[in-house]
Amino acid sequence: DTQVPQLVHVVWLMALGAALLNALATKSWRHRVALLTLLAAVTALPVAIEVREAAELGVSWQGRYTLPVACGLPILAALLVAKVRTPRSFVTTFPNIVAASLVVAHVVAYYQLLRRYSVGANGRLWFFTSARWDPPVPSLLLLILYAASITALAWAALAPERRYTETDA
Amino acid sequence: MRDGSFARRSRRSWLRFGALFVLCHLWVVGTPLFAGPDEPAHAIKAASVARGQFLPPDVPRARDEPVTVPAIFANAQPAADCTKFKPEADASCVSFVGSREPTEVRTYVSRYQPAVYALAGLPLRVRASTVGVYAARSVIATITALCLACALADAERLRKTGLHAGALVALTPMTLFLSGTINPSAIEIAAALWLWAALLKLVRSCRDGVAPRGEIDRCGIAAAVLVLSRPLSPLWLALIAAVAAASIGTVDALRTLVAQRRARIVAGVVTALAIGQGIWTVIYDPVIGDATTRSSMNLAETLRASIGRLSGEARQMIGVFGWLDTPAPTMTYVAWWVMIGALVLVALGCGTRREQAVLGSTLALVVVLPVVLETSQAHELGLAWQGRYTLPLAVGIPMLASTVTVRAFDQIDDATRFTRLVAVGFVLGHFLAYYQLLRRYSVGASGPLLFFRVSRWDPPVPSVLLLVGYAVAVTVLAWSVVTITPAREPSRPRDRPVGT
Repeated sequence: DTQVPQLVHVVWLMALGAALLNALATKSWRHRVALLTLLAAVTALPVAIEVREAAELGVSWQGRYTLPVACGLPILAALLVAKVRTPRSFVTTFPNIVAASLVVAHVVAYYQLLRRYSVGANGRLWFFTSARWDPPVPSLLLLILYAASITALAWAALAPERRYTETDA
Repeated sequence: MRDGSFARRSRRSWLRFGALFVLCHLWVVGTPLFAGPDEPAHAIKAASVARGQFLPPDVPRARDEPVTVPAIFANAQPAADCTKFKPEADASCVSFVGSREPTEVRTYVSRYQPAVYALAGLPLRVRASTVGVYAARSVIATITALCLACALADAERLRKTGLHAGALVALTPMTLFLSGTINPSAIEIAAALWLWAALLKLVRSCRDGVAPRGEIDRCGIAAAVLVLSRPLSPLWLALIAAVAAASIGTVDALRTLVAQRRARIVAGVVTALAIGQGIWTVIYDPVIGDATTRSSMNLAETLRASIGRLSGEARQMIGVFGWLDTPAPTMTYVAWWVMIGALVLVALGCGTRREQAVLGSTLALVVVLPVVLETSQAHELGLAWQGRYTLPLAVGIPMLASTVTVRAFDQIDDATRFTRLVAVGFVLGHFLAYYQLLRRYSVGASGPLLFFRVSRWDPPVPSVLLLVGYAVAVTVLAWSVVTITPAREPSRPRDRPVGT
């Protein structure tokens, strides 16, 4: 019942689009077929399973049920992107830009969760001093911790890129 | 490595114009009368200008002011009201009949600059009727198609940079929808798109030490059409010129341009037109509010509300039809965000520092300017900014990005495949958007998916036929763009792949 802000959807679609469209530009038929097959599976499987079970369970599929397969899409796409995009500037900057965008999106999503339960989904933007519900740890501290953790995670994930750049330089 | 003769390019240009002409007219026919945003007000203004009345009579200033037009136009707003803001209402209630006797009818765009209305109003002078309204729409659609075809032709001249892929993404369903209504927005956006393409080409030529007459002329015509279209257009002209110059311009390039007498003349004419539009705006104050529009919020509240409206405005730039009451299908938005992400994020990753700075600044302008302009006018106009107002500037983002993204592929074949993928997203997104427009007005936005036999409203041409025509025309348009071969050798040496 609590949508993330539109910005989060947009950032994720843009990041996924950057990976998918560039990966599908690869010369290898085999790689393209693999990626398209996975894409088709992520799209078609939920429909097929839901329709088959609708008589008993109703139309009850949720996005999280598909995620174990769907999370392979950006992973596979990112691997293939490296085959068509190799200039040094791209290798060093593009992952940083994607990571920075996703960090912002993650923080915005978590902020909206805290806000929704503190003052309601459309409550005050600066809700920290007027919350009607407080988590066991103050919201502002949670948000700062979240921002720090997700930034650290992104930084650590990009460590191989930095090593590559330093070695290459 | 040239990929074709002048004749071949010319044939392809005509093919693209034909496809765009058909597409724009399919929106003309598929959209019920006065179902475009503010269409009754613009139709009344067009009818009055065509009769020689450029301004309302000398009466106390008000938002809605009277102009003299055939009495039938008093029924334009009621015709719109029966579906306006009611996405589940089909268009069977739309009726536009009445007398041709001259009478005073009020419009809130009575003081807008008259150029576009003088052209669109001509058919309304001949026939103040349903046919006249469709014909007036056709004038807008034809001018829009011409500007868009010229934009794609200029993008083709820059094919080695991949501009044609960006131009496709810049051409959103919203622009074509607006081209099917009586509203100067479509011409403003199409002219801006053309100006982006023409200026990016001219700046590159000047950097290389030449300023061809043809390129100067095309920039001049695009700029003139843009400037004459709407009150805010001179601002977009200035920003587009500044960004295009900043993208790759140099002092030497500017010298090359200024040395051309023709360039000085064209710049003078365009500047004079822009100043004229500005003077008109200052003297006649075309956009004012009243008690129904004014906002009583303080600055902080207005800023917050304005920022909160940005995501809706972004969707409007892709496509929200009717009186902003009919969103396109989710897949259309997904297709566009995926394409924009593929162009912009990669451009920010591949570009030079300058390219990154220019693209980043343009992105910032597209986000910040609507908030600044809306907030500054909220006390008078309320929160009234719409995505289409930003589109003249925003269409530059995929175009700027594509010149980096496509160029930076290691192999030409990869770039070609990438452009084809963009074309697939373009065709899919456009087709679904047009289908939803027809469905919304035939059976309501949530009506049956196969609505063709149960529709309660039918456009002048059967919906199935329109839909088939749209599929063919949009495919032909995309095909004519993606078959442009990037005329270059791989531009960068192959680096070591990631992860090795």
